[in-house]
Amino acid sequence: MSKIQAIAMNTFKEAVRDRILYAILVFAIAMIASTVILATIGAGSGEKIVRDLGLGFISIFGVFIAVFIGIGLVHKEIDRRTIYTIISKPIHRFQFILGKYLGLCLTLFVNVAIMTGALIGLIFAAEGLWDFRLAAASGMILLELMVITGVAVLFSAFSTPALSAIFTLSFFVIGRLLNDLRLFGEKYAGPLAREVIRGLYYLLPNLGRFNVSAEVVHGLPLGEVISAMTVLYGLLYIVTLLSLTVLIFQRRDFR
Amino acid sequence: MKRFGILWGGIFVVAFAGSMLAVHELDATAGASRPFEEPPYLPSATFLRYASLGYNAMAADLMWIRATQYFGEELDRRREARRSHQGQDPQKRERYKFLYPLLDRTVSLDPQFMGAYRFGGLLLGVVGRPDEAIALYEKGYAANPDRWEMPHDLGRLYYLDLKDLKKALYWWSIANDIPGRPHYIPRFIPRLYAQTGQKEIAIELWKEMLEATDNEWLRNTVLRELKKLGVTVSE
Repeated sequence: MSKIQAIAMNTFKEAVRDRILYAILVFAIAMIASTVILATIGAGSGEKIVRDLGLGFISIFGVFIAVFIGIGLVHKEIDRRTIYTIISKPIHRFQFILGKYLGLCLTLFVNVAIMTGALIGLIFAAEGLWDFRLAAASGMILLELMVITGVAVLFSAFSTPALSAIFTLSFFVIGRLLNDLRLFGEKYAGPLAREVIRGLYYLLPNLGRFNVSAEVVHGLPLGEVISAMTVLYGLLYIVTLLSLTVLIFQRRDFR
Repeated sequence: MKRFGILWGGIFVVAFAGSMLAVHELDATAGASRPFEEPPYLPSATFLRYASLGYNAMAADLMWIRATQYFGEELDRRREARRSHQGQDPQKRERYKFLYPLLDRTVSLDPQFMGAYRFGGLLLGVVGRPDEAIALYEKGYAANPDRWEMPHDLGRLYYLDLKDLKKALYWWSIANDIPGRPHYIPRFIPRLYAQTGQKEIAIELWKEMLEATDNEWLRNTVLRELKKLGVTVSE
């Protein structure tokens, strides 16, 4: 465990030293703050607009961080040849992958927490109330980002950063539209296509399950959308991705 | 090295100044900004839902802002047209024709967006498009059957704008059964029954209200209404 922790902390330190992370974070906070301007022309719906756009920006910039840091996570070590130093030490490859993954998750957690804090603070400044329900939406956004990071790390283990970015973003897009794809299949597809779509539905990550922003913003009950099963689904999918990454990484020959 | 610095600095200054002059020239010839006349192409709500990748609420907000901007621009253009055509607007029929499509996309992306239904419906009613206002409110009611706002606003539209008392009564009766509805709705209903000639029901409802309340002001109001219907109740 201490080895995984050491790699995770090192990955975290490396990520926070990356200037691009600060650029994304500053830009995200600037965008969140700018929602106040849009809210003023929202004709009475300003409060909703600030929350919608704020949560949307947290998710979008979180995806940027997850994808663009995640894709280089393993590949960078191979490219710099630092992987030889690491694997020559008494460290299992699964420890390396888990450490890298958890380090990036910690980076994402810190970033999402900062962005959520900025949004909650902005709402307090504008409306004089602490809207902590937004933290629930951010928690689910973080879980979604952890799944996306898992996908990025998987591709990073055997592909180039450019291809990994394309694959991960494709997974993100499909994952976001998976519910619609299933409905489309049920309504319009033939028997064979329906079965194929059903198969894809269980194979690909259903990221729409983690999107609870509408319920949070409209003050709807969260019990139905944030269930233990949703969290369990996310965690199990992450474990699936990481185990596949470990399997691929174990077979790689670094000579 | 220093010469290169001066050269690139010079290129930067010239290019930057040139770009500012070009913008200035464009503004002078084509107007400072292109007026928001009408959306040249409005994608379908289904397409927008897919294209927004689950960020539906964000897309709905942007569509809503676009709808309010469109309303404002059309309002300005109508004023301008009236000023230059002796109080007449030659394009009156065409005015606001994209308001409903914009609002429809907004609420299709975010079916719980109460502000868009309510304010949007109000705007459509104000600009003389009550059929579209009704369509928007009914869409809102279908998506949010547990919210009193839509039947309430439909009742208001039928009562005040369309003077259709029966339909107003129908919608306010629905609103009356939904928790959280405004306190005045129960008073409107017997009045509407009376106005639509259903005196017996009106009297029953007023009496029921009289028994249910201790509020002095409300009791006096009910007694006054009953008196109008020829009923005197001894206190």
